[in-house]
Amino acid sequence: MKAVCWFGREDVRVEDVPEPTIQNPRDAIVRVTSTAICGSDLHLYRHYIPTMQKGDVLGHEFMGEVVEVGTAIESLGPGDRVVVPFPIACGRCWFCRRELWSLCDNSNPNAWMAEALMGHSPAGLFGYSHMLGGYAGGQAEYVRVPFADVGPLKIEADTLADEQVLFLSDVLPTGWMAAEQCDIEPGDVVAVWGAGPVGQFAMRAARLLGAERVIAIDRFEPRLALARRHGMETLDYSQVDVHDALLDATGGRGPDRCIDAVGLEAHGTGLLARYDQVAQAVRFETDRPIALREAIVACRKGGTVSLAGVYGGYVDKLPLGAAFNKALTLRMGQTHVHRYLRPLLERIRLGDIDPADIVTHRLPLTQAPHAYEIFQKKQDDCLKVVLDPAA
Amino acid sequence: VSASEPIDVIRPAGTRRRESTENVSRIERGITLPFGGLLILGGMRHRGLAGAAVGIAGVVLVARGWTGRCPLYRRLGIDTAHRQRAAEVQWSRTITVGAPLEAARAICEDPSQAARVVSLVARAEAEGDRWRVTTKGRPGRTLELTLRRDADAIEWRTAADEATPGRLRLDFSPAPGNRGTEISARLMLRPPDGAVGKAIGRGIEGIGERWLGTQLARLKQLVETGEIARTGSQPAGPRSALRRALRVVPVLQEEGA
Repeated sequence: MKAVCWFGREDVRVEDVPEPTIQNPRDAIVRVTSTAICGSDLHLYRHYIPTMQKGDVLGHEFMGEVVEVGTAIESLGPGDRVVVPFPIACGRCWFCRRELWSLCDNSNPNAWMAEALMGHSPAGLFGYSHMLGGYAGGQAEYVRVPFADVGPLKIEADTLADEQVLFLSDVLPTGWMAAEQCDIEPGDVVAVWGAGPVGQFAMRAARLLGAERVIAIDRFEPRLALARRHGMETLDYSQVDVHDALLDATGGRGPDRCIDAVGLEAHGTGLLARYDQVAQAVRFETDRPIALREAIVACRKGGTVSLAGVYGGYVDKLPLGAAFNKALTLRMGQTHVHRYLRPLLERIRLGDIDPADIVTHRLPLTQAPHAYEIFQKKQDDCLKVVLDPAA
Repeated sequence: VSASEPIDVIRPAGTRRRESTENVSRIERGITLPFGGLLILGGMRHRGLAGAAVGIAGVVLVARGWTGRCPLYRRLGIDTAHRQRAAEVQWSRTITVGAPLEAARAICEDPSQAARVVSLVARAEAEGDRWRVTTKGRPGRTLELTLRRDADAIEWRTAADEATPGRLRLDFSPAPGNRGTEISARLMLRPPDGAVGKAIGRGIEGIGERWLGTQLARLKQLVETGEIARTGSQPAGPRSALRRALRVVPVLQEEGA
């Protein structure tokens, strides 16, 4: 079968690889009908995430049709149309039983690698390094889904196209959780750093959860324009001083809730942004926390900073003193996707959210290398690429 | 077995010999000395920095052979001059398993589950408290183990005359907050005597901790989910030559493979 494989920094190729097989009784094999490139895939593409191996199959946003199930699977059968959450969760450990799905204790066979870096291991993820399981990803014609009785969401309604439900696998719940963990109150002003797919959904979620005003911060005009179309205010960080602009926009209070939807590859202006690029290049830090720094400093006293963008390692010059002295609440984590699947599917069905309008490119899987390149370089106004393995 | 039973454990780093500064064996000295002399002669034939460097290396080797003392060996804790009894190496890890103590313990005492949990075990059979364990590999090695039990712990021991005698002890206690059972594992091995055994003990020290932790994680997976997370035999593009080479070494493979 065809699959998108990682071979090094900015080197992905479509290769012929063996088809996956059932390995455990709770597995399923899914024929992928749609798969997307996530912003966090770019961290792999740029090789910022350790423990990748040449030949790894990428992709953690995908959906498709079940073609085979293991002997212990009763809730699914061949022909079922499913969306698959990117974290792999057993459904039975202490964390899964508390709906902390992305912290599953049992789905990472290479937990020791994550423990060496982080002290404990989060859940295994599809196509996202050996430290996080080494599972083959879904940018392929077929994918093996472990614990298929827990993760995949069956899509019964034929009226919903793939693009309307595909993003339940990651970016839509990720944006939603970023807003939800802000504990938004009526009258709140929410600032969102990054108007990529996660940022777009975080803004819409903040609105649906009661925010009075939402401010998008980015430098790419098409992304800011999309935010404006949904009623958000916008700031172009390449044109204004973000801190001053946010204070001006909030009567000097600062945003009540701040969402970092950028993560470890943040860009910025000024000396500190240049410092981050150098520090990351010489491995003095692994991540560039420019958006996070700005969020902590801008957030109003007693406010909340919520992290949805991925961080992978170590950062420098984090203003923890500001966070402490302003009594901020910091919330973060890989998304507990399973928790949000059904409620968000219902919102899609009701028309509260239309996820499909973030899609800018629809390409055959075979054009994945080109897709990664234009997404990484933000060429052709690329915001979201959906790949079709059958095309 | 009792929890207070003394365990004879000395980590390799603590076994450096202090009573003599000689740390190079006679055979090694016999090779080092003439080789150092040859280097001195070679260095004298060449002028310049390269010649000087070769000459100095020769002097160092001659001194090493003459005195039987090697600073590098001392720094690395290597001593080939004395017959050494290898120190027992111990690793310990603890995990919380979400099951009642009796259920967790029953799986540990079931030989049919051992091959599923322990990644290097191909087959295990029990006759009373005598276990016969066959390891993976070609040919697999067969170990005779004795199982000992008490109220809070179980322990497997190899026969004392094994080339690498060892024991694995599991202690069980209830976890707070109805979280199940805490299992503490201690694996103790005594590598073969001599410098080679000592080097083996040192080499496997880091791997052993990781390996033991992974086996406990596999036990937890089996108890809690009914299966063990795997990533073997899954699709991948062409791997690097190094990765392909490493796949023939079972202990270096990813545990899910």
